[in-house]
Amino acid sequence: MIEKITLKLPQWALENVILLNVRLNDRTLVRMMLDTWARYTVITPNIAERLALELADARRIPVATTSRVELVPLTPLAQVDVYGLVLEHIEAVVIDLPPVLGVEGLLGMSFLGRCRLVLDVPKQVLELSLSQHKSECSTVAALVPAIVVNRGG
Amino acid sequence: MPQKVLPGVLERLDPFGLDQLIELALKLKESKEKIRDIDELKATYPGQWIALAIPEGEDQYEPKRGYLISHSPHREAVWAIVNAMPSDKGVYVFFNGPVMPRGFSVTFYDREDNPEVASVGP
Repeated sequence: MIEKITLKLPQWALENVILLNVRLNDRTLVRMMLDTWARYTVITPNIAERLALELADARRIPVATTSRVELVPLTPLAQVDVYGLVLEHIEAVVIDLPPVLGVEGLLGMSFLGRCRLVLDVPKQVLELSLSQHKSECSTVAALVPAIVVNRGG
Repeated sequence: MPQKVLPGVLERLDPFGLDQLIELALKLKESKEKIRDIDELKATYPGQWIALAIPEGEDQYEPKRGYLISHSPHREAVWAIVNAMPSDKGVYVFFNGPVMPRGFSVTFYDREDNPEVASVGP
């Protein structure tokens, strides 16, 4: 079992957002945005359908969007696999992200909170490892902005 | 008939037209036959959503080759095809274009209570 991964980040990521290829339930590989301000990992309804998640009886939680507050399903993902670092039973909310974002989900704190996250900006390296403190969040130096603004103008 | 090839998909693809449905169904059939280089697909279909089946032996996180399942500027059209496939098939779906174009700002906020500010110390 892999307990630590080290990823090289492109310069683009440091100026925009960090995108990761994430395998969900061992059969669906999608691009997700690393987001330390998202309390939960987020997936789109398309992925929920692909993974055959039962949402009818799922707990609903309020999520504020730009225009209103919606009640959205909160459901566990059996397996979330980030370049071999695998965590099970990750809670995820199901929201239809705008296609213009170009991502199919957000890797949020329901995953990251069980890891040690180190972002070394000068070296353009992201390290993600299993937390030694299983029950606590140990995110370190999480410098990823949750409000994403393209600084290129 | 497309209905026999992709049961249940017709209704979902209706906004995109029958012609496109048939085209996608044909591409699905074609995709079963040959493996494609992902860089080639990226060059061929810029600005589109692309779905691939990952062949055995390929890197499972950063595949370089795959079987083209579907491509379209419309995300829902691609997922309609993907979700009509057997659930045990591994797929890779991504947008082959600019992510969050210039000028976009994004905020995600889903806390039910008041956020706590970070403090100094271990």
